[in-house]
Amino acid sequence: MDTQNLANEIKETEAGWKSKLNLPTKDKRVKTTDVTATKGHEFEDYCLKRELLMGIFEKGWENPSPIQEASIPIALTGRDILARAKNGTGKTGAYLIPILERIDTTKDKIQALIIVPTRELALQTSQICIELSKHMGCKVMATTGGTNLKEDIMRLQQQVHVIIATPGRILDLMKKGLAVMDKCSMLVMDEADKLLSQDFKNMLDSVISYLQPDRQILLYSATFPCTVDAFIKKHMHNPYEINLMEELTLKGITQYYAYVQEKQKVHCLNTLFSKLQINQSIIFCNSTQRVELLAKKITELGYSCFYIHAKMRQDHRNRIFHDFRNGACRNLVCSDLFTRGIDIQAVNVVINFDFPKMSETYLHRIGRSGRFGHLGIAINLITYDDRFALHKIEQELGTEIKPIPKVIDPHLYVAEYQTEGTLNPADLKAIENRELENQQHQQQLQHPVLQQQQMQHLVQAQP
Amino acid sequence: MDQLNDIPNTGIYTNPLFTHALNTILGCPVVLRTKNNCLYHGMLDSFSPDLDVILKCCHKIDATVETVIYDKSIPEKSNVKTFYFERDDIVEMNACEVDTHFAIKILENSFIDSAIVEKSRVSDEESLGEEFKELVPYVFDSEYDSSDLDSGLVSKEVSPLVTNNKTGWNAEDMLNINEIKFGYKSTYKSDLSDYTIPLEKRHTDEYKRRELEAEKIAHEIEKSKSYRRNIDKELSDNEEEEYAFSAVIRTDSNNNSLRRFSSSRKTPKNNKSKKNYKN
Repeated sequence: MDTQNLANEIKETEAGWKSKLNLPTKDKRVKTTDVTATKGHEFEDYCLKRELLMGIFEKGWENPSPIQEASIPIALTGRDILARAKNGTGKTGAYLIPILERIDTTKDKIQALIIVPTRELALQTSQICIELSKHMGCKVMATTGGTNLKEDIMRLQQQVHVIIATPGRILDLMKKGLAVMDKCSMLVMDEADKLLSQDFKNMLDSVISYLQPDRQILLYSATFPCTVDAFIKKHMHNPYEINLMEELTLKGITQYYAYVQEKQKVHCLNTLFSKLQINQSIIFCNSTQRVELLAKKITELGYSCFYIHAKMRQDHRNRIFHDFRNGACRNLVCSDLFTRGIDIQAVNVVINFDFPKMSETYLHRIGRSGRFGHLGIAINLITYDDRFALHKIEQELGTEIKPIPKVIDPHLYVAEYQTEGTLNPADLKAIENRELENQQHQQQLQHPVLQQQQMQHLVQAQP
Repeated sequence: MDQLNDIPNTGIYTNPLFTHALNTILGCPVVLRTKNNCLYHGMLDSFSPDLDVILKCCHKIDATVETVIYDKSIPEKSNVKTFYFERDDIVEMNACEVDTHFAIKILENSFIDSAIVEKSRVSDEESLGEEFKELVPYVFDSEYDSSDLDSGLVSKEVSPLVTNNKTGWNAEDMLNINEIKFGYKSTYKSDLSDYTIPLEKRHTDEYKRRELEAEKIAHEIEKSKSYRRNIDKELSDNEEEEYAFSAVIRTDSNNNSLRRFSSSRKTPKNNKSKKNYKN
């Protein structure tokens, strides 16, 4: 009888754990095939710990994205991975989930190290890791330059399982034997192409020298402008390659240019602000001084606006990063400090006030909108001097940046127009034809069936 | 046809899934373990209905000199033969690294950005010409008074050579103005408790001793040259942050991109567009 009761009890808890989850409100915006073209895996297919699954679901992640499907099972076997997938398609989850699954929280040892190129990205990754692992009792520490070194040393005397760091700070801690890495068997390099760029490279070689010899190395990025073969040869064992990219740019982002003179840029921006329905925007400038001046100008024009760049005090940087992420301010002017990895779901407009030089910068910048397959727009202010760069980047990315139309269709970037279930064929058409001019739009209104077919290729509404 | 159908399926051939799986790895390198715990590395050649197996180019792995990493072990040429294994002697047979896509891989280095562009271009050739396009000037709404906006960001007081705070905007001022004008409220906690493990502070002598110790080490690290160098790498030491945080530096050794074009090769023909502005 007792065993029967016990069995019933187990049955009840088995069935009940999902109903007890504290799920966030569902994001009902449509998503593009960049994140919906999956094989149909579920997180439960990977035999993950119950506690980890709870964290995943409470984060609002319902099913694995394509990069997560490809990456999680392989990473769980301990194999090295070299992976590329588009901006905002779930790379962080793709490495955090297998890492957390393989952490033994009963051992008081650092078991995984995640390296990222910027401090704010380290904070963001760490926060996601803390949220995913909150039912596991896993201790996650972020350590970056610019924060209190003494406190980080003392944190390392406590129990730590996972460290998320920028390369400089973690090297200092490892050299002094403060971060003991001899049981660290997993290393992730996020934004790997940047970390392996000449300016960082030697630091990563040193980092690796402190790890276990048979460690697993996972490399992730959306861009690999150059090969990383030399690093692979030196440090990795026959890595499993994941390359899910048929093209470089996100399907959900519409790109425009506004051809202006330098002195008209502020005027143009002001016009855009008055016309666009901005949920949150990120505006990029090419120098820290212009970042500050533009942010000042924007507040003078009557819009709430922060700025962030690397020459500010770290506590200011942290505050602005935190508050902007939480929606306390609508606009953010920034330098390329914020170009890679920063994930703010509410951003629907990215403006390149100054056009970047390198194609990977451009790709990462515009990838700040259209997160996780959602829709967004990118507007580039182009001057006569930028025409070569514009052409070069269009060629290198295989994309076309169109002149900005008089009216930008709100279906292309405004959340209220994208809710699942409310999309009728005409709405869908608008998204599909996002690259066409208004006139072409009207012609196509007469062929709703055709557009629907095209649309299914582009946007796959969730069932 | 008739002849094929006449052969009765026997043994493992009656299991279509298993037969299919084995057929998939025919011709692939496998590592086979026998009952007496020997490892053989060879190419799967054929299998009988009773699951006897033939490996070609096969050799016995000498554990003292060879290790098997995935599918790679190094046989001595003279030892490579065709081996026949009876089912009863086989413990396991592993085919690692089976690449079912090898025949349809096109580019050797398909991983870098330019290869992906190349791939997408095949289907999209017409829309992406290499010609410079004529840029369409932005049309401002004429009724809008723009006199105070048209100075852009280049004001007289700003010289590119002077980079002190006076030419920019103080961060404190920014936070204050956003608070006053737009009601911005911060939820930031300076202990970063959302982002890292909390520091377990205690009021014991032991804790104070550890704190002093940590302070001493921190001071040592902060004095060292490498610390400064590392910090400088995390901060940018010039005005432009693109190279510090975003761009990947190309070197001769890694820059084997498939790029077909260079900006120096062609001159743009959009001088016309410039004229538009002079009017």
